[in-house]
Amino acid sequence: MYLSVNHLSKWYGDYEALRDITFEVKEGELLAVLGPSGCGKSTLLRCLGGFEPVQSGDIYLNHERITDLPPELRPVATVFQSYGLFPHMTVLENVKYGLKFLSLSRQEATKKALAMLERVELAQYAHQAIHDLSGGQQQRVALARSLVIEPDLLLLDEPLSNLDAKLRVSMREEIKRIQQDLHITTIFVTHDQEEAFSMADTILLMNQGNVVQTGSAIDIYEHPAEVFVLDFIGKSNLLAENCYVRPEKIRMGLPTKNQPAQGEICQVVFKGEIIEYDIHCFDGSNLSVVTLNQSDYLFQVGTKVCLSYTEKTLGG
Amino acid sequence: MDLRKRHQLHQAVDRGIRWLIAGLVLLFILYPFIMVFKEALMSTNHFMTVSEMGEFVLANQSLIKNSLLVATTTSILATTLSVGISLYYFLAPNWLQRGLSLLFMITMISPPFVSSLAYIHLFGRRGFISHQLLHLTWNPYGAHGIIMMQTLGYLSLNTLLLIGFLKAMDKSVVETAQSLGADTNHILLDIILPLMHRGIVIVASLTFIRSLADFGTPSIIGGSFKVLATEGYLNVIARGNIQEAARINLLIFIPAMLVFILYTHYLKDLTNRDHGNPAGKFSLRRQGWLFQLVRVISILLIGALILQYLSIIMNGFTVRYQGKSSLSLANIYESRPYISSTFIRSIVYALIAGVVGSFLSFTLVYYSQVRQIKWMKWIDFIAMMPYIMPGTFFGLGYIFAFSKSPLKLVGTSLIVVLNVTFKQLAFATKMASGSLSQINPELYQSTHDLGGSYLNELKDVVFPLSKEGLYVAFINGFTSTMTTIGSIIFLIYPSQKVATLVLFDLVQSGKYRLASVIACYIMLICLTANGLYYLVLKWMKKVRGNVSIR
Repeated sequence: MYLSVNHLSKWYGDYEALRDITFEVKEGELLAVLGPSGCGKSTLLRCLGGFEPVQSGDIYLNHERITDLPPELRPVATVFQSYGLFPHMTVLENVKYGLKFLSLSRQEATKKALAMLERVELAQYAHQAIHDLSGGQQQRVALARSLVIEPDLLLLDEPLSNLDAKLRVSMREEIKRIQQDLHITTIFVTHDQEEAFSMADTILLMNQGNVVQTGSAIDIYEHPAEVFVLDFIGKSNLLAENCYVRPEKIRMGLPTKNQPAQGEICQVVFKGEIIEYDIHCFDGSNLSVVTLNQSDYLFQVGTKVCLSYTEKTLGG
Repeated sequence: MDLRKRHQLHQAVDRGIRWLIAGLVLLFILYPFIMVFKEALMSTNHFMTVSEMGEFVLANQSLIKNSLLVATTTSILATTLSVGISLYYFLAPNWLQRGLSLLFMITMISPPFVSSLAYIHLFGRRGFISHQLLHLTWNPYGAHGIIMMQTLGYLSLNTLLLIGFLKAMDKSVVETAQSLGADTNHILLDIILPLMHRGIVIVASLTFIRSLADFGTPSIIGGSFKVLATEGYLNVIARGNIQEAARINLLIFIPAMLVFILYTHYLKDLTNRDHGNPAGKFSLRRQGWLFQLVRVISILLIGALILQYLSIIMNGFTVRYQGKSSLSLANIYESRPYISSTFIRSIVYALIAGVVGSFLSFTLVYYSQVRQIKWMKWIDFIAMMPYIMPGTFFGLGYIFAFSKSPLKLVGTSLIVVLNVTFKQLAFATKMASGSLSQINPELYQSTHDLGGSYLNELKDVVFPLSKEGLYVAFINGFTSTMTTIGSIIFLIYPSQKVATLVLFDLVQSGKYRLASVIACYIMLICLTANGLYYLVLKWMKKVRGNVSIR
């Protein structure tokens, strides 16, 4: 495996920030570390980057043990949440900075940096000051600066959190495109499920310093390993201890002779492309149902409905 | 009371406070300032002509040259060395950082002349190192002595300021450089030093202004080397020529003002750009030639600082008899007549100045910064002026302004208290400005929304939410009053002496051991006040913690 993280643990005094973390990443893969605030995902990234020492465990990158290497000696580049751009340097100087430690001539370094700026469509801003750029442009400079040194592993810490919603969507595609073009193994940290689902090949879901589940977006959504995953990823109706059904998997209709009413609609939330219904079932339970806004007919509050669905089991 | 009437009353009080503050600042800062100009530039019955001014400058050419030489060399040395120490501090392990912080705090809050006193004790003609250990015969007095001692004296404050700049630096910038392959040398040279340059200019400017205005160090160890500040002082004390003193102080003020403009420009620039993530602790490797260099410099200078203070303490607790030193409490007994009511008076003055100065400055900044009252911004600016005025300039201003009725205050205790209170407004308003900018403006709107008035903004928002800032301003006011001398030396009558004046008299009359005892007392009082401040702060944090848990 290209990156192997084995039994990694990290303590801050008495607080265990990472607990026996083990996972692997294939070469060229894009892994998203997903989890709620304070689950340890940024700590994990900092440990991989060499910014935090670990108490136990090993990190192997390209068959080399890098656990104890300082950040400057690891073939790993990190793009921080606040980008960490050098405010006293121009765009080009920022992108060139890491190349000076790779024994390249000045001309070669400039050529390479300019080529990378072209790739991120910022060549025309090469000689501008950092603070003259927009948030999205700064993001791309930070990305170019990390990519130009051709690291074995690229780490992105909440890379899109400082951008507005629209820019975030376009930058997702941009990062994915560049990552695939350069075939660079990448790990990015996010708390946004949609971001992880749309970008990542594999998702590593964390909670309270533990890895809860690893797999593709479909795996995690369709086969949640435990209640936390079910709660954190999408919406769900927990039916019994281990049984659940996703709101969009419930079919809802008006009662017929053969299919009597099972509940009554107590709330309708119109969200444009989808409609959310809260149903009070006659057996005392409550269910959430989501339908696509496909027909002209909208169920009203108070309407009695019949429901059909298939229960799923956690971990199944 | 009817709600409307109450509101009207509050508005009137609010207006009254505003006018009162403005009046006080104009009267006790601007008016003395103008009076120095008037006295300096007024020649018998006409204003000085340009040629007269030229003649005056030419006549004092060598003094100007000396002052600029000392101030420039001291700023370069003190800044360079404090940059070195601050870098070392930043790379040092946590336990060492804690120790160094304590050392810098202690050495920063010390009384004046401590450097000079230690210098004489260690390197004087009968000095412990120069005479007793090395058996050298050399002249410690002159420009080299002043520069050395001023450099050492300003080191702690400069280093603490630079550490502050380093701590405010965006941590991710340094970590990014690390992740791009930069080693410690490159990070220091390519990233940290360029990003520190604004802080460096600010520290250099402050050192220049302080060195230019310092008359204590040159008057004690300057020997025959004269600077403007000493001449300004001697013209009042020895020659009784206060007009000449005013003119000399004006000569000091002009370069100080030019440097101050540079300072404010960089300070403004710094606050505009300060939007990084707070640094926290860097995990840079302690290696590379630059780290070794700053380590050696730091160890030597920290050693010198420790030696300086140890020598004062030792000097206070030893007596020399037949060429031999021995431990004794004799100096403490002997110092009793010099203390009498002096220390109580000093502490009372410092307490009044601390409390009044901090509340006054927070209220003033509330009007200029929060309420955005345009003309109050000018008052705020005037309150900053003592920052650049040499202490003796400010003191002279008080003599000129308050020696005739109806404002005759010279000879009273009030003039001393007013002087120290208004002199520290410059720092306290800066503190207030930083503190009030942290308060969410919506809190003020909420106060009005719920029926409160402007007075409620002050009472229920500004003061309760600025407790920490108020404490810092108070402690600074207290400490600076306990250790100040320049601005009050001309104002104090023999019967109302404060501790620093007693110390100065003892140093000047060569009673170094007794002076050391007084210096120790002053340090002890300031340290106690600072210690209490930390205890209060800790307690406040604990209380706040409990509240947030609930």
